[in-house]
Amino acid sequence: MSDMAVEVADLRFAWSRREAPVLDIPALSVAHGETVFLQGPSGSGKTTLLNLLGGVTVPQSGTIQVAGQTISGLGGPRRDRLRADRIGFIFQLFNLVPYLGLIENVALPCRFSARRRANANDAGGTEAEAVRLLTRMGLDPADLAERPVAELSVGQQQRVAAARALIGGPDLIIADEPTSALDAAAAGAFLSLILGEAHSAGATVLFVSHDDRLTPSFDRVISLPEINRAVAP
Amino acid sequence: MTAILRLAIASLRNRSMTVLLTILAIAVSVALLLGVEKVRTEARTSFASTISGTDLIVGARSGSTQLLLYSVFRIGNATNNISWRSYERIAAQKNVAWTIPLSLGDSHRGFRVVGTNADFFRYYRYGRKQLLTFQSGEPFTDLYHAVIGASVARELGYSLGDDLVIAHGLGAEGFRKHDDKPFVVSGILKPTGTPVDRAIHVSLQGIEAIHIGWQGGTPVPGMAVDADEARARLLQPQAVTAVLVGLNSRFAAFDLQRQINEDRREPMLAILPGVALQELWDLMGTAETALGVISTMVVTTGLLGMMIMLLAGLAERRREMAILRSVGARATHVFGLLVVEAFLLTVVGALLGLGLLYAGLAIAQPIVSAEFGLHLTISAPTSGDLARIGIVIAGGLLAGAIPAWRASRQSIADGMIVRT
Repeated sequence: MSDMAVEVADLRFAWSRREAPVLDIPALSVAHGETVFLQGPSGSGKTTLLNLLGGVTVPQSGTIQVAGQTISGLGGPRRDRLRADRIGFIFQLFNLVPYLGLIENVALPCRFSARRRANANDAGGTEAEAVRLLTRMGLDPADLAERPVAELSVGQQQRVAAARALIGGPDLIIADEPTSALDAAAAGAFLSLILGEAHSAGATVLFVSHDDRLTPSFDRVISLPEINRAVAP
Repeated sequence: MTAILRLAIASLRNRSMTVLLTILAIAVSVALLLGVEKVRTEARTSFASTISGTDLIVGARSGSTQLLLYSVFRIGNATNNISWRSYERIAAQKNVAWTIPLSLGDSHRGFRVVGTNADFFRYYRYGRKQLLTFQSGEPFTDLYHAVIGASVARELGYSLGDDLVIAHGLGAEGFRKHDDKPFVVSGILKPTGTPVDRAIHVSLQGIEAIHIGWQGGTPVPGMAVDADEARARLLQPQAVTAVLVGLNSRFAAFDLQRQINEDRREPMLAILPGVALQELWDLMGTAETALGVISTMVVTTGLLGMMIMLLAGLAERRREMAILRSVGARATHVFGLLVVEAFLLTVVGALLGLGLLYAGLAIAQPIVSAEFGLHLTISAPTSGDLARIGIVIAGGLLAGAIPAWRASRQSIADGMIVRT
């Protein structure tokens, strides 16, 4: 049982045996409650690392622990359960399921994770919690609920995605370039909202971006090219 | 599982246009499948009940199908008659309860004329052992009386008391007519849905009377007698075309059949109507099979359409699948989502198809009954119907499994991030 939210050791990943590895990370750890800015230009193996942390992909060698569990050693369904229970994701764009309503989109993780459903119920019910988080993100659920989510602005969609990542109190929030489609002011506002809410929920944040202007808001900055030996510096 | 069901319903509602068309295609194909089966079973029942209660049909020696066709269905011609003496011998057999002699070969405006006697109205049964009943009038009592079937009355617009002239032979027009001895409609039968509706019934003596002075199909000059003179003649029939025989005990049928078939005095053929009907129906088995094959193919096309719709949607649903994966969905959830979508489409399609079938039956029933004499009963779906619906739904699941498998493969390859 590790004290870390994320602990990676001797991780190597290649798409096939014959190809050179895209990831070779001797060590990477993020403590509980820590907020980390991970700098990763395209081509640095960022997407692969996120898929590995989420348990969607498995490494050839090395271990990956998330919230104290070795996700790299679990079978497929248990990796899926760990991801559902412990991690909230926010992506760059197109975070929402187009045919679900606003509240349903936010509540989605509670449909796949009994743990997060139970947490949300403890906080007053899935829907009430979705409404609370949307409000915290500066959205008016009553005003937006009737519209298809695809008609929301990009900034609004990202905040809905943030509410979804936070619902049910996951241990770890992984955000993958969530502000790259936003202007500087909106990006700053979005960042403070998500960091504030993660802080009050006690969640760890792993924020992946190449926008260096945002780094002052984080506890620590890690450069992926520096820790990944597979990338020629 | 409820999460997947909710997602599937929301996803389908989001694509209402293509979903509606797909459901409609499945519905129409299911309605066709069940409709064809309905018509087939009804036609078979109706066919099998064209004649009932008759134990043997006797005619001149030919084929059993041919005898059945001309004696019951009034299709085709007898090659030969049987003598009146043979008829009397059969009627006198100890197990014989009743006989109906039939004398065929004349027609009136395309409808067959049947010479028979009053026993026809007393003993002839069809359907579920039903006797013939009169719409109006009564059986023939006079030499020149005729009792017409319901279709004859309707199509020719005849009512009681109308005159009709019998033509020699079976063509619609152009044959020599027995116009010197017109008949009067004395009775009109209620519809039966059998060939009786399309026949004109007169007495055997009437048939004899119009043929006085005829030989080989033409009147012999100088031999003609007028209608009233004919009454004075001894109108003893010399032959009949076929005889319907009712027995006291059905078990006697085989004995009497063998006895008649082995009769050395005259070559005759006795058939069991049930067996001959079955043989005749089996001749049409190919058409039946063809109908079944066609409706099965239509259903397959409907399900293929659904599969194509689901497959075509996969490319644009890659992001959706990636999002679902990121919130914790397994690849099997993605598979399940597509299969549940296919299941819902097929079930709704099948139920709508059932609805279409009953709506179609309600509309078609009076038309089919009037035009073809086929009564389509509207009843609850049979166990066969339910089995067919079950097979369609199973087929739908199978058709859904292919896009579902592709979607789950695709989502495993894509992970949580789709870079397009």
